[in-house]
Amino acid sequence: MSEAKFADYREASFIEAGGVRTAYRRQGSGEPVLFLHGAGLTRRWFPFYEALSKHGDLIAPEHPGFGESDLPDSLTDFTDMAVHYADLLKALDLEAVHLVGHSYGGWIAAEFAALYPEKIKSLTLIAPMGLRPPPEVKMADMFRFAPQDGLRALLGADGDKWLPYFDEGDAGAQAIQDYQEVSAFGRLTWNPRYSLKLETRLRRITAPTQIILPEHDGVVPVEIGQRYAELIPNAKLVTLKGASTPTEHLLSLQEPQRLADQIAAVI
Amino acid sequence: MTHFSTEIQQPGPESDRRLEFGLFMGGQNGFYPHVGENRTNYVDLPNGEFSEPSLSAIKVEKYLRNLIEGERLGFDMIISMEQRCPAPYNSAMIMASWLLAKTNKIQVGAIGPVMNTYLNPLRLAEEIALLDIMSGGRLSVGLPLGIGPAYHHMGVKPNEARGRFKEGVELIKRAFSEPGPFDHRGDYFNLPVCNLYPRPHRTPEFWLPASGSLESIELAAEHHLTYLAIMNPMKALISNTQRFRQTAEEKYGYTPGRNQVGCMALVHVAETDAQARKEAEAHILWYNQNLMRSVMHDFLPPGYSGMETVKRIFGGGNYRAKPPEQMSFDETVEQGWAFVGSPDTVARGIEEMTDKLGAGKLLIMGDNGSMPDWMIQKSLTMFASEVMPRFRPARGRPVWADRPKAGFETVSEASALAVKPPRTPIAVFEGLGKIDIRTAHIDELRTPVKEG
Repeated sequence: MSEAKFADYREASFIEAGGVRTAYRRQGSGEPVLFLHGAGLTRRWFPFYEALSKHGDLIAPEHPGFGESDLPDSLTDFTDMAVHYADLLKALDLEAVHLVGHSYGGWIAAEFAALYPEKIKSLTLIAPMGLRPPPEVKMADMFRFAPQDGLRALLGADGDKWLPYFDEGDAGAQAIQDYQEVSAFGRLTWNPRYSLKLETRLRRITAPTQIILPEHDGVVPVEIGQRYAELIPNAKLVTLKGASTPTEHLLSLQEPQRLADQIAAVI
Repeated sequence: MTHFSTEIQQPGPESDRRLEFGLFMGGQNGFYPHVGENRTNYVDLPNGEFSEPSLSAIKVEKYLRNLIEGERLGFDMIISMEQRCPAPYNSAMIMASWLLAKTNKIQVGAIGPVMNTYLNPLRLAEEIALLDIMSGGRLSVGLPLGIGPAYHHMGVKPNEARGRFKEGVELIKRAFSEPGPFDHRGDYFNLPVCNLYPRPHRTPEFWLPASGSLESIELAAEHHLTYLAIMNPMKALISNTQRFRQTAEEKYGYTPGRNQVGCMALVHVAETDAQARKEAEAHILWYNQNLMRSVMHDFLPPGYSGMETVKRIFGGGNYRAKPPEQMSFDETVEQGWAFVGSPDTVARGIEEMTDKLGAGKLLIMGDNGSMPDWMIQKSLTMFASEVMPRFRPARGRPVWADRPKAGFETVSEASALAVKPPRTPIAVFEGLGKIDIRTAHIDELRTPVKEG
């Protein structure tokens, strides 16, 4: 194993999914659990993954254009993204999985579950994006956070203490990597920043579903998660409380163990 | 492909060392908040506080009046720009229309409309064609990709910006050269009936202003656009223009002449070097610190630039390069952003810059956006009388002075053109048959015609 580049860095494995070279990390045994990450924190194996891998065979791929996964020119919308993950399951020889998605990954998971309901054994959406919040709910412009404001929005008033965790060493290389990832993110989410189609398609989901929300979210309004819980049949809505400080959008960093245990409730 | 016999603008002879001067105004007025760390004035400065209507009217009036004065001063071209928040100048085409109406013979360059804010490129082609017809062929058009903040405002995906733009440039070029209707089947636009009305007098000279992205240089070279090298220190301008020439030669098999390369600099002229500096220094610092400053996520929205360009910007230690907003007055002048001094000093600077770049066109920024009117007019008058003639043949006439306008200016000229309508205009009268409507109001001429 090569020397760590930054906190929790771990080398990836690679697989071809529908012709797209896809990076992933995998650990654990038992029921297959596919975790779809949010718009950042790639190339890591962090405590939340460690905790979740105790509950099953955890597969954590990097989305096309994120981390070390390739981004084909032809991938331009969420249907393409859902097809990519169907290709990945096929490449991994998996019929169906417990699907978990956080934030942007939550949106992708919801699209996948609505298009391929037969391929999921359970669905967990954590602070998910993807639906249109009501007009009175303020929505942050995710593409315009100044660095220090971004951390506070993601992790609350004491977000700055996490700054070293996000430091990847070479500032120039990190700026290039960040730009590549936010470009891949923006390709699907710049306009519109929600899907109206999902509102009518979510009814197709039949697997046990839970929506896990933080106590406060300065990035993705909790009303979006609440709306998911209304639209997905029999979905359970859970607010995960923090042990010492209130949970925020990046609850996977704040409360890795409790979040993993909550996910395990449907595995 | 059949081409129209439309005249293609060929401004200025190549053979001599003549320079063409365009007049560009900053036009802002310096009433914005001083920009601090991680902030910009370009995207979300609240209009409730910073777009007071009377102040906007004063800004726009001053901006347009100083440009109109450019005709009397003898510039070869006056330029309308397009800027959004915090500026009021959000349509280069609307302002070009005003400038064309308020001037007589000078060329007007709209540099330019941000094509990606239009529903489709053909809509922009229509506006260009109409202004050409209205003005006797006096319009030139710059096609900027649009700075990052425009994409924050307009909803167009920055990821698609360059693809849409490239397809748009190709479609506009085609609409001006190929008879319609034709069918356009693109990646971004599918227009089954492209049929440009009106057909223009002249195919305008198209400019491509670009700060140096590889994509833009390639596009300008491929489509024979006038490359306008902007927003960089001299060193980068030189390498960008070299790359442009090299791309044109190696990939497209032609050598761009001097009149296919333009550049731009702030110019301030006064009686002596010391006097010029005294007048311009505060305004240059204001510009550097407030309008050159922005934050990365606003100027490079996601996907706006390709990864190869982004690696050039941030790779190899460039990440820590000194940002332009920290430039001192001396650095601004040394790096060729501005020429400030006596007529001799400014003329020397211009000669050096245009020689190094092989540029035949120079856009003079006559005001960086904060100078008082008297200072702008004093400098521009000195520039026109003491600098410009040095770069022109004897008599110092601008290029448009000896070029006839297209179309007509008087009723008698219009009649002398004797344009024959392609068809006799007819209406069918019951019992009479097809009648020529031009003479239908005279009984004895209300007789049936054969054609129609």
